Amino acid sequence: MCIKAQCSIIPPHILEELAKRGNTSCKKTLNDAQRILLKRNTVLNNLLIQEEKAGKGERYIYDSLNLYKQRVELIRKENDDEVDDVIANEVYDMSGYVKDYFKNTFNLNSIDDNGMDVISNIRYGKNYNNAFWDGDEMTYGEGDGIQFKDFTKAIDVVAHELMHAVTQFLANLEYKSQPGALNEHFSDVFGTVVKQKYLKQDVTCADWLIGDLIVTDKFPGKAIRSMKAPGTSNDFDNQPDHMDNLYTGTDDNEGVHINSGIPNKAFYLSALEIGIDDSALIWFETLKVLWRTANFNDLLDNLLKVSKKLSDDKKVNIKSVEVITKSFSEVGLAQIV
Amino acid sequence: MFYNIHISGGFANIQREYEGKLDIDIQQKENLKKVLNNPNLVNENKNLTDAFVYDVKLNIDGKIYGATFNESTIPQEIVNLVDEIEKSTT
Ligand SMILES: [Zn+2]
Repeated sequence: MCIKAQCSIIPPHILEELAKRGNTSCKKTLNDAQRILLKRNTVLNNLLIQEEKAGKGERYIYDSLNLYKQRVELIRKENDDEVDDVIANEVYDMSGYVKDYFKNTFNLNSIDDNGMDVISNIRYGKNYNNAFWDGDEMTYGEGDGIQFKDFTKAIDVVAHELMHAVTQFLANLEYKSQPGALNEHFSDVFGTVVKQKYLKQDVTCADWLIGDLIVTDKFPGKAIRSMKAPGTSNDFDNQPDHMDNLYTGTDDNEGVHINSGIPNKAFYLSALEIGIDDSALIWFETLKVLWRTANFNDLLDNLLKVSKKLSDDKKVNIKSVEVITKSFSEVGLAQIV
Repeated sequence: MFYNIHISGGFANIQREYEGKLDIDIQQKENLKKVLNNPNLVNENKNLTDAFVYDVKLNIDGKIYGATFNESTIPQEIVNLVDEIEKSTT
């Protein structure tokens, strides 16, 4: 057993090793310590220490007015009536849909499981071709109108960004190399799960594309990524779908948006066999036991442990372990025994 | 000054590469040398996801200066330089 007082004096690399061996208490301490350190730096900057209380998970939509700034002008907040701004209303509705999905499916209290407000900034910058999560809030660019549309136009993009928040608070996967690719993977997984729910699609008829609604006709491709066929969604898509082609360069924080193609394909293969709901439950419960430096093998190892427990408890398809093993084997990953 | 700027990351991870020559004044040279010699990475936001990554290499008067930034660490001098280069290439 690892009580909090003991964990706090144990060096992080030992905590990580203990977490890796299934010690959830050490994992929690490790994640808390990292978060506290980050928070402390911010707090010291502000010369103010505040107790973190459970929030109400309220939505706030700000307009950046095409400046490279956040929270410029508040245009809609929780319980406000619709405003005269289509994008603001769409983001309000979609972020609510995502939050409700996590609440109704996993009983998650907002994106941090502690009632954190869901803050979105729209119209960030000029022709800004991006959307990001910064640890506290979401920010969306309008796109250049040539190759990209407004990044708020797609439920999978909104869910992807909100999932980065969930990952930060549940596993704190560091944003580089394989842990970073897992961070991206979980965002694509729940981006696509929420998209299929939102569009009332079935796994067999879904397109499994990410970001298909934010690209224009002039964009050289149909989407940003494909979970069904990584590497095929556009002319720039360099995602591998097998460990043989793992990217080992330094671009993109050592390939976080590139190597996520490998577990993405495994998720697709699993969901085809056991369904999107069982897959989502297994992946979500697995995220809760992962840690900052977890890699692809750690993901598989824990998916198998979690799916075994869930199938023993009759909460997911009895074939889950077998299906996940086979799906990961097809992308070149096998459990290390 | 010769430049090589490689931008990766972002939600779409569509990479941009700029390479070429740009005439800049002495003050701008000194400012760029300063931010590349002492990149301020203290305020790096480790929770930032889907942000752009800027890999910047400059050859100023025969000496190479380089650093990697993301959107939480990129100094205004580099933002202005990228803007200037993007404008000149479009
Ligand atoms: Zn992402």
